[in-house]
Amino acid sequence: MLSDIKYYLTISFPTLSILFLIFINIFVSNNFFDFGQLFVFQAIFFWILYTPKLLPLYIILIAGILQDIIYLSPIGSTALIFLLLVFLFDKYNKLFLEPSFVDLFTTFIILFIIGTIAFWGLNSFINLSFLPLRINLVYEILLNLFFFPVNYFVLHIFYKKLNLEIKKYKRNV
Amino acid sequence: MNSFLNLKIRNKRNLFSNYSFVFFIILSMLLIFFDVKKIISSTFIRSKIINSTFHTRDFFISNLPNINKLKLLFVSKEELALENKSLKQKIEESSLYRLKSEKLEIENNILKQELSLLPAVLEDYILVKVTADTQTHYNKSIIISAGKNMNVRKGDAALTYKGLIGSVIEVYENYSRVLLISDINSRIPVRVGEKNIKAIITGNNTDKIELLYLKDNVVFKENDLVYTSGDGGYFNSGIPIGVIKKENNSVYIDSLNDLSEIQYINIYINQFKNF
Repeated sequence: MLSDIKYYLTISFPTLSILFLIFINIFVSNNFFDFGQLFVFQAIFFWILYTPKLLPLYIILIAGILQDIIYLSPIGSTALIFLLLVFLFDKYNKLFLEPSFVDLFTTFIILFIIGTIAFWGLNSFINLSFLPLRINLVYEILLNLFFFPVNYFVLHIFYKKLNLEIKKYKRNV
Repeated sequence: MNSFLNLKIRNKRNLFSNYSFVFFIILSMLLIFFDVKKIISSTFIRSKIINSTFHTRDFFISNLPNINKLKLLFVSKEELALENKSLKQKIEESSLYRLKSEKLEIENNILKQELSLLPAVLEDYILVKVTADTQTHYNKSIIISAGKNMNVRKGDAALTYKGLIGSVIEVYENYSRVLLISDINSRIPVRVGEKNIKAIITGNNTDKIELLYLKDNVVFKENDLVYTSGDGGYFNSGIPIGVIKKENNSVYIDSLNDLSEIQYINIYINQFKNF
Protein backbone atom coordinates (compact mmCIF):
# COMPACT_ATOMS: atom_id res chain seq x y z
CA MET A 1 0.00 0.00 0.00
CA LEU A 2 2.70 2.45 1.06
CA SER A 3 4.89 1.44 -1.86
CA ASP A 4 1.94 2.03 -4.20
CA ILE A 5 1.47 5.56 -2.84
CA LYS A 6 5.18 6.20 -3.19
CA TYR A 7 5.13 4.88 -6.73
CA TYR A 8 2.19 7.05 -7.79
CA LEU A 9 3.69 10.11 -6.11
CA THR A 10 6.91 9.49 -7.99
CA ILE A 11 5.33 9.07 -11.40
CA SER A 12 3.21 12.18 -10.82
CA PHE A 13 6.32 14.18 -9.95
CA PRO A 14 6.42 15.95 -13.36
CA THR A 15 2.83 17.17 -12.83
CA LEU A 16 3.54 18.15 -9.23
CA SER A 17 6.65 20.08 -10.25
CA ILE A 18 4.60 22.02 -12.81
CA LEU A 19 1.97 22.87 -10.19
CA PHE A 20 4.74 23.88 -7.81
CA LEU A 21 6.21 26.27 -10.39
CA ILE A 22 2.76 27.80 -10.99
CA PHE A 23 2.45 28.43 -7.23
CA ILE A 24 5.99 29.80 -6.99
CA ASN A 25 5.33 32.12 -9.90
CA ILE A 26 2.17 33.53 -8.34
CA PHE A 27 2.99 33.73 -4.67
CA VAL A 28 6.74 34.14 -4.43
CA SER A 29 8.52 35.26 -7.58
CA ASN A 30 5.97 37.90 -8.61
CA ASN A 31 7.17 40.00 -5.68
CA PHE A 32 10.75 39.93 -6.94
CA PHE A 33 10.88 38.83 -10.58
CA ASP A 34 8.27 38.99 -13.28
CA PHE A 35 8.69 35.70 -15.12
CA GLY A 36 5.35 35.95 -16.88
CA GLN A 37 2.80 33.29 -17.65
CA LEU A 38 5.11 31.15 -19.81
CA PHE A 39 7.52 30.46 -16.93
CA VAL A 40 6.02 27.00 -16.45
CA PHE A 41 7.06 26.06 -19.98
CA GLN A 42 10.58 25.52 -18.59
CA ALA A 43 9.32 22.49 -16.66
CA ILE A 44 7.05 21.31 -19.47
CA PHE A 45 10.02 21.44 -21.87
CA PHE A 46 12.16 19.36 -19.52
CA TRP A 47 9.56 16.67 -18.85
CA ILE A 48 8.45 16.43 -22.46
CA LEU A 49 12.09 15.89 -23.33
CA TYR A 50 12.84 13.22 -20.72
CA THR A 51 9.58 11.55 -19.78
CA PRO A 52 6.85 12.51 -22.26
CA LYS A 53 4.71 9.57 -21.15
CA LEU A 54 4.49 10.99 -17.63
CA LEU A 55 3.22 14.32 -18.90
CA PRO A 56 0.18 13.72 -21.10
CA LEU A 57 -1.34 16.56 -23.11
CA TYR A 58 -4.35 16.90 -20.84
CA ILE A 59 -2.04 17.80 -17.93
CA ILE A 60 -0.56 20.60 -20.07
CA LEU A 61 -4.10 21.74 -20.89
CA ILE A 62 -5.07 21.76 -17.19
CA ALA A 63 -1.87 23.62 -16.20
CA GLY A 64 -2.64 26.27 -18.82
CA ILE A 65 -6.26 26.61 -17.72
CA LEU A 66 -5.18 26.93 -14.08
CA GLN A 67 -2.86 29.78 -15.00
CA ASP A 68 -5.60 31.47 -17.05
CA ILE A 69 -7.99 31.28 -14.12
CA ILE A 70 -5.51 32.85 -11.73
CA TYR A 71 -4.24 35.55 -14.11
CA LEU A 72 -7.70 36.39 -15.56
CA SER A 73 -6.63 35.53 -19.10
CA PRO A 74 -9.26 34.07 -21.42
CA ILE A 75 -9.58 30.42 -20.37
CA GLY A 76 -7.62 28.22 -22.76
CA SER A 77 -5.22 30.89 -24.08
CA THR A 78 -2.11 29.82 -22.13
CA ALA A 79 -2.95 26.17 -22.75
CA LEU A 80 -3.15 26.85 -26.49
CA ILE A 81 0.32 28.43 -26.48
CA PHE A 82 1.78 25.56 -24.43
CA LEU A 83 0.26 22.98 -26.80
CA LEU A 84 1.56 24.89 -29.81
CA LEU A 85 5.08 24.93 -28.35
CA VAL A 86 4.93 21.23 -27.48
CA PHE A 87 3.75 20.53 -31.03
CA LEU A 88 6.73 22.48 -32.44
CA PHE A 89 9.09 20.70 -30.06
CA ASP A 90 7.64 17.36 -31.15
CA LYS A 91 8.60 18.18 -34.73
CA TYR A 92 12.08 19.38 -33.70
CA ASN A 93 12.65 16.29 -31.57
CA LYS A 94 13.10 14.12 -34.64
CA LEU A 95 15.90 16.24 -36.11
CA PHE A 96 18.64 15.44 -33.59
CA LEU A 97 19.90 12.03 -32.53
CA GLU A 98 21.77 13.07 -29.42
CA PRO A 99 21.23 16.75 -28.70
CA SER A 100 23.70 18.43 -26.36
CA PHE A 101 22.63 20.85 -23.64
CA VAL A 102 23.60 23.75 -25.92
CA ASP A 103 21.27 22.38 -28.64
CA LEU A 104 18.45 22.09 -26.12
CA PHE A 105 19.08 25.57 -24.74
CA THR A 106 19.02 27.00 -28.26
CA THR A 107 15.77 25.18 -28.93
CA PHE A 108 14.29 26.51 -25.71
CA ILE A 109 15.31 30.08 -26.62
CA ILE A 110 13.65 29.79 -30.04
CA LEU A 111 10.50 28.16 -28.64
CA PHE A 112 10.20 30.66 -25.79
CA ILE A 113 10.49 33.64 -28.14
CA ILE A 114 7.92 32.08 -30.50
CA GLY A 115 5.65 31.45 -27.50
CA THR A 116 5.96 35.03 -26.24
CA ILE A 117 5.18 36.50 -29.66
CA ALA A 118 2.29 34.05 -30.17
CA PHE A 119 0.89 34.93 -26.75
CA TRP A 120 1.07 38.63 -27.52
CA GLY A 121 -0.61 38.00 -30.89
CA LEU A 122 -3.35 35.89 -29.33
CA ASN A 123 -4.09 38.49 -26.64
CA SER A 124 -4.10 41.28 -29.24
CA PHE A 125 -6.51 39.24 -31.36
CA ILE A 126 -8.82 38.60 -28.39
CA ASN A 127 -8.81 42.32 -27.43
CA LEU A 128 -9.19 43.32 -31.11
CA SER A 129 -6.33 45.82 -30.85
CA PHE A 130 -2.55 45.67 -30.93
CA LEU A 131 -1.40 45.54 -27.33
CA PRO A 132 1.69 47.65 -26.57
CA LEU A 133 5.03 45.88 -26.83
CA ARG A 134 7.10 47.11 -23.92
CA ILE A 135 10.73 46.66 -22.93
CA ASN A 136 9.53 44.61 -19.91
CA LEU A 137 8.64 41.83 -22.32
CA VAL A 138 12.32 41.57 -23.33
CA TYR A 139 13.36 41.52 -19.65
CA GLU A 140 10.84 38.74 -19.08
CA ILE A 141 12.32 36.66 -21.90
CA LEU A 142 15.89 37.25 -20.67
CA LEU A 143 14.94 36.37 -17.11
CA ASN A 144 13.40 33.08 -18.25
CA LEU A 145 16.41 32.27 -20.39
CA PHE A 146 18.73 33.03 -17.49
CA PHE A 147 16.81 30.75 -15.12
CA PHE A 148 16.36 27.90 -17.61
CA PRO A 149 19.74 26.22 -16.90
CA VAL A 150 19.07 26.46 -13.14
CA ASN A 151 15.63 24.91 -13.52
CA TYR A 152 16.96 22.27 -15.91
CA PHE A 153 19.74 21.34 -13.50
CA VAL A 154 17.40 21.05 -10.49
CA LEU A 155 14.82 19.00 -12.40
CA HIS A 156 17.58 16.79 -13.75
CA ILE A 157 18.69 16.00 -10.20
CA PHE A 158 15.14 14.92 -9.30
CA TYR A 159 14.89 12.95 -12.52
CA LYS A 160 17.98 10.97 -11.62
CA LYS A 161 17.20 10.60 -7.90
CA LEU A 162 13.66 9.38 -8.51
CA ASN A 163 14.70 7.04 -11.34
CA LEU A 164 11.83 8.34 -13.42
CA GLU A 165 13.14 6.81 -16.61
CA ILE A 166 13.08 3.33 -15.08
CA LYS A 167 9.64 3.93 -13.59
CA LYS A 168 8.35 5.05 -16.94
CA TYR A 169 9.27 1.70 -18.47
CA LYS A 170 8.07 -0.22 -15.44
CA ARG A 171 4.66 1.36 -15.83
CA ASN A 172 4.55 0.42 -19.48
CA VAL A 173 5.17 -3.25 -18.79
CA MET B 1 27.20 15.10 -15.59
CA ASN B 2 27.65 13.53 -18.99
CA SER B 3 24.03 12.45 -19.05
CA PHE B 4 23.04 16.01 -18.14
CA LEU B 5 24.92 17.46 -21.10
CA ASN B 6 24.17 14.76 -23.66
CA LEU B 7 20.74 13.33 -23.89
CA LYS B 8 20.14 10.09 -25.73
CA ILE B 9 16.64 10.08 -27.02
CA ARG B 10 15.60 6.52 -27.66
CA ASN B 11 12.24 7.13 -29.11
CA LYS B 12 12.48 9.10 -32.33
CA ARG B 13 8.83 8.71 -33.22
CA ASN B 14 6.31 11.42 -32.52
CA LEU B 15 5.85 12.04 -28.80
CA PHE B 16 2.11 12.38 -29.20
CA SER B 17 -0.23 11.44 -31.99
CA ASN B 18 -1.31 14.17 -34.38
CA TYR B 19 -4.95 13.42 -33.54
CA SER B 20 -4.45 14.16 -29.85
CA PHE B 21 -2.68 17.43 -30.72
CA VAL B 22 -5.51 18.48 -33.00
CA PHE B 23 -8.10 17.50 -30.38
CA PHE B 24 -6.48 19.47 -27.55
CA ILE B 25 -5.72 22.51 -29.70
CA ILE B 26 -9.35 22.65 -30.90
CA LEU B 27 -10.51 22.18 -27.29
CA SER B 28 -8.37 25.14 -26.16
CA MET B 29 -9.70 27.31 -28.98
CA LEU B 30 -13.28 26.38 -28.10
CA LEU B 31 -12.63 27.26 -24.45
CA ILE B 32 -11.25 30.67 -25.48
CA PHE B 33 -14.29 31.28 -27.69
CA PHE B 34 -16.76 30.26 -24.96
CA ASP B 35 -14.99 32.40 -22.36
CA VAL B 36 -14.65 35.50 -24.55
CA LYS B 37 -18.27 35.28 -25.71
CA LYS B 38 -19.33 34.52 -22.12
CA ILE B 39 -21.17 31.34 -23.18
CA ILE B 40 -19.83 29.55 -20.09
CA SER B 41 -19.92 31.15 -16.65
CA SER B 42 -16.20 31.28 -15.99
CA THR B 43 -16.75 33.27 -12.77
CA PHE B 44 -18.12 30.18 -11.03
CA ILE B 45 -15.13 28.08 -12.09
CA ARG B 46 -12.69 30.86 -11.18
CA SER B 47 -14.37 31.25 -7.78
CA LYS B 48 -14.00 27.58 -6.90
CA ILE B 49 -10.43 27.25 -8.13
CA ILE B 50 -9.15 30.51 -6.65
CA ASN B 51 -10.71 29.71 -3.26
CA SER B 52 -9.13 26.27 -3.16
CA THR B 53 -5.77 27.56 -4.45
CA PHE B 54 -5.55 30.31 -1.85
CA HIS B 55 -6.82 28.06 0.94
CA THR B 56 -4.00 25.63 0.10
CA ARG B 57 -1.51 28.49 0.24
CA ASP B 58 -2.91 29.73 3.57
CA PHE B 59 -2.75 26.19 4.95
CA PHE B 60 0.95 25.89 4.09
CA ILE B 61 1.75 29.38 5.34
CA SER B 62 -0.05 28.83 8.65
CA ASN B 63 1.88 25.60 9.22
CA LEU B 64 5.28 27.07 8.53
CA PRO B 65 7.39 27.88 11.61
CA ASN B 66 6.97 31.54 12.51
CA ILE B 67 10.43 33.10 12.64
CA ASN B 68 9.13 36.23 14.38
CA LYS B 69 7.79 34.10 17.23
CA LEU B 70 11.15 32.38 17.56
CA LYS B 71 12.85 35.76 17.67
CA LEU B 72 10.64 36.77 20.59
CA LEU B 73 12.19 34.04 22.72
CA PHE B 74 15.47 35.91 22.59
CA VAL B 75 14.12 39.32 23.66
CA SER B 76 15.45 40.51 27.00
CA LYS B 77 13.31 41.70 29.92
CA GLU B 78 14.58 45.28 29.53
CA GLU B 79 13.43 45.34 25.91
CA LEU B 80 10.04 43.97 26.90
CA ALA B 81 9.64 46.64 29.59
CA LEU B 82 10.55 49.35 27.09
CA GLU B 83 8.11 47.96 24.52
CA ASN B 84 5.39 47.78 27.16
CA LYS B 85 5.96 51.39 28.08
CA SER B 86 5.81 52.59 24.47
CA LEU B 87 2.67 50.53 23.79
CA LYS B 88 0.93 52.03 26.83
CA GLN B 89 1.87 55.48 25.57
CA LYS B 90 0.44 54.65 22.14
CA ILE B 91 -2.84 53.43 23.68
CA GLU B 92 -3.17 56.68 25.59
CA GLU B 93 -2.48 58.71 22.46
CA SER B 94 -4.94 56.72 20.36
CA SER B 95 -7.73 57.09 22.92
CA LEU B 96 -7.02 60.81 22.97
CA TYR B 97 -7.30 60.95 19.19
CA ARG B 98 -10.50 58.90 19.34
CA LEU B 99 -12.02 61.34 21.80
CA LYS B 100 -10.96 64.26 19.65
CA SER B 101 -12.43 62.69 16.50
CA GLU B 102 -15.71 61.87 18.28
CA LYS B 103 -15.92 65.46 19.48
CA LEU B 104 -15.27 66.73 15.95
CA GLU B 105 -17.86 64.34 14.48
CA ILE B 106 -20.54 65.56 16.89
CA GLU B 107 -19.61 69.17 16.20
CA ASN B 108 -19.67 68.49 12.45
CA ASN B 109 -23.13 66.89 12.61
CA ILE B 110 -24.50 69.85 14.62
CA LEU B 111 -23.08 72.33 12.13
CA LYS B 112 -24.48 70.37 9.19
CA GLN B 113 -27.93 70.36 10.78
CA GLU B 114 -27.63 74.12 11.28
CA LEU B 115 -26.79 74.51 7.58
CA SER B 116 -29.66 72.14 6.59
CA LEU B 117 -27.34 70.07 4.42
CA LEU B 118 -28.34 66.70 3.00
CA PRO B 119 -27.10 63.74 5.05
CA ALA B 120 -23.62 62.70 4.01
CA VAL B 121 -23.15 59.71 1.76
CA LEU B 122 -22.54 56.65 3.86
CA GLU B 123 -18.93 55.66 3.34
CA ASP B 124 -18.30 52.26 4.81
CA TYR B 125 -14.97 50.84 3.83
CA ILE B 126 -12.74 47.97 4.74
CA LEU B 127 -8.97 47.75 4.67
CA VAL B 128 -7.78 44.66 2.83
CA LYS B 129 -4.47 43.09 1.93
CA VAL B 130 -3.42 42.32 -1.62
CA THR B 131 -3.15 38.52 -1.54
CA ALA B 132 -1.70 38.05 -5.01
CA ASP B 133 -0.48 40.47 -7.61
CA THR B 134 -1.66 38.78 -10.82
CA GLN B 135 -0.61 41.56 -13.17
CA THR B 136 0.88 40.45 -16.47
CA HIS B 137 1.57 42.26 -19.73
CA TYR B 138 -1.94 41.46 -20.90
CA ASN B 139 -4.06 41.71 -17.74
CA LYS B 140 -3.90 44.15 -14.88
CA SER B 141 -5.71 42.69 -11.90
CA ILE B 142 -4.98 41.85 -8.27
CA ILE B 143 -6.57 39.45 -5.80
CA ILE B 144 -7.51 40.83 -2.38
CA SER B 145 -8.24 39.12 0.92
CA ALA B 146 -11.95 39.94 1.22
CA GLY B 147 -14.96 38.55 -0.57
CA LYS B 148 -18.56 37.67 0.14
CA ASN B 149 -17.55 37.09 3.77
CA MET B 150 -16.83 40.84 4.10
CA ASN B 151 -19.85 41.96 2.08
CA VAL B 152 -17.77 43.02 -0.93
CA ARG B 153 -19.82 43.36 -4.11
CA LYS B 154 -19.09 43.56 -7.79
CA GLY B 155 -18.53 47.18 -8.78
CA ASP B 156 -17.19 48.42 -5.43
CA ALA B 157 -14.40 50.98 -5.64
CA ALA B 158 -10.85 50.06 -4.63
CA LEU B 159 -8.62 52.89 -3.50
CA THR B 160 -5.74 53.96 -1.34
CA TYR B 161 -5.39 57.20 0.60
CA LYS B 162 -3.92 58.71 -2.60
CA GLY B 163 -6.78 57.80 -4.90
CA LEU B 164 -8.65 55.22 -6.97
CA ILE B 165 -6.84 52.13 -8.20
CA GLY B 166 -9.70 50.12 -9.73
CA SER B 167 -12.95 48.33 -9.13
CA VAL B 168 -14.04 44.90 -7.94
CA ILE B 169 -14.97 42.72 -10.91
CA GLU B 170 -15.27 39.26 -9.39
CA VAL B 171 -16.25 38.32 -5.84
CA TYR B 172 -15.41 34.89 -4.41
CA GLU B 173 -16.08 33.46 -0.93
CA ASN B 174 -13.03 34.88 0.86
CA TYR B 175 -11.32 36.74 -1.95
CA SER B 176 -12.14 39.22 -4.70
CA ARG B 177 -10.51 40.37 -7.88
CA VAL B 178 -9.87 44.04 -8.55
CA LEU B 179 -9.46 45.23 -12.13
CA LEU B 180 -6.92 48.05 -12.09
CA ILE B 181 -7.51 51.34 -13.91
CA SER B 182 -4.54 50.55 -16.16
CA ASP B 183 -6.22 47.45 -17.65
CA ILE B 184 -7.34 47.64 -21.26
CA ASN B 185 -10.88 46.58 -20.28
CA SER B 186 -11.30 49.21 -17.55
CA ARG B 187 -13.77 52.06 -18.23
CA ILE B 188 -14.45 54.78 -15.63
CA PRO B 189 -16.50 57.98 -16.06
CA VAL B 190 -14.51 60.98 -14.84
CA ARG B 191 -14.34 64.74 -14.71
CA VAL B 192 -11.17 66.67 -15.39
CA GLY B 193 -9.79 69.87 -13.90
CA GLU B 194 -11.51 72.99 -12.69
CA LYS B 195 -13.74 73.11 -15.77
CA ASN B 196 -15.23 69.70 -14.88
CA ILE B 197 -14.78 68.30 -18.38
CA LYS B 198 -16.52 64.95 -18.73
CA ALA B 199 -14.65 61.95 -20.12
CA ILE B 200 -14.20 58.20 -19.82
CA ILE B 201 -10.81 56.81 -18.90
CA THR B 202 -9.41 53.50 -20.05
CA GLY B 203 -6.12 51.70 -19.53
CA ASN B 204 -3.88 50.28 -22.23
CA ASN B 205 -1.92 47.87 -20.01
CA THR B 206 0.81 50.50 -19.49
CA ASP B 207 1.27 53.19 -16.83
CA LYS B 208 -0.33 55.78 -19.10
CA ILE B 209 -4.11 55.94 -18.77
CA GLU B 210 -6.03 57.25 -21.76
CA LEU B 211 -9.02 59.60 -22.07
CA LEU B 212 -11.92 58.62 -24.33
CA TYR B 213 -15.04 60.28 -25.71
CA LEU B 214 -13.85 63.87 -25.45
CA LYS B 215 -15.48 66.79 -27.19
CA ASP B 216 -13.52 68.45 -30.00
CA ASN B 217 -11.08 71.24 -29.14
CA VAL B 218 -10.93 70.41 -25.46
CA VAL B 219 -7.76 71.76 -23.90
CA PHE B 220 -6.29 70.38 -20.71
CA LYS B 221 -3.76 71.96 -18.46
CA GLU B 222 -0.76 69.98 -17.25
CA ASN B 223 -1.34 68.53 -13.76
CA ASP B 224 -5.13 68.99 -13.94
CA LEU B 225 -6.71 66.60 -11.43
CA VAL B 226 -8.84 63.74 -12.75
CA TYR B 227 -11.51 62.38 -10.41
CA THR B 228 -14.54 60.12 -10.58
CA SER B 229 -17.72 61.78 -11.78
CA GLY B 230 -20.12 59.31 -10.20
CA ASP B 231 -22.05 59.18 -13.50
CA GLY B 232 -24.07 56.04 -14.06
CA GLY B 233 -23.79 55.13 -10.40
CA TYR B 234 -20.19 53.97 -10.75
CA PHE B 235 -18.33 54.98 -7.59
CA ASN B 236 -18.88 58.01 -5.40
CA SER B 237 -18.06 61.23 -7.15
CA GLY B 238 -14.85 63.09 -6.35
CA ILE B 239 -12.44 60.21 -5.80
CA PRO B 240 -9.09 61.39 -7.21
CA ILE B 241 -7.53 59.15 -9.86
CA GLY B 242 -4.54 60.94 -11.38
CA VAL B 243 -3.21 64.06 -13.02
CA ILE B 244 -3.05 65.12 -16.65
CA LYS B 245 0.33 64.85 -18.34
CA LYS B 246 1.31 65.94 -21.83
CA GLU B 247 3.80 64.21 -24.09
CA ASN B 248 4.38 64.83 -27.81
CA ASN B 249 1.01 66.53 -28.38
CA SER B 250 -0.84 63.67 -26.68
CA VAL B 251 -2.52 63.73 -23.31
CA TYR B 252 -2.53 60.91 -20.80
CA ILE B 253 -3.28 60.44 -17.10
CA ASP B 254 -0.57 59.66 -14.61
CA SER B 255 -2.09 57.63 -11.75
CA LEU B 256 -1.62 58.99 -8.23
CA ASN B 257 -0.79 55.46 -7.07
CA ASP B 258 2.09 53.27 -8.15
CA LEU B 259 -0.04 50.42 -9.43
CA SER B 260 2.82 47.91 -9.40
CA GLU B 261 3.52 48.36 -5.68
CA ILE B 262 0.13 47.99 -4.01
CA GLN B 263 0.03 46.15 -0.69
CA TYR B 264 -3.03 47.38 1.21
CA ILE B 265 -6.16 48.98 -0.21
CA ASN B 266 -9.56 50.20 0.93
CA ILE B 267 -12.77 48.87 -0.55
CA TYR B 268 -15.82 51.09 -0.36
CA ILE B 269 -18.67 48.79 0.58
CA ASN B 270 -22.09 49.13 -1.01
CA GLN B 271 -21.43 52.54 -2.53
CA PHE B 272 -22.47 51.21 -5.91
CA LYS B 273 -25.41 53.14 -7.36
CA ASN B 274 -25.27 55.54 -4.45
CA PHE B 275 -26.20 58.82 -6.10
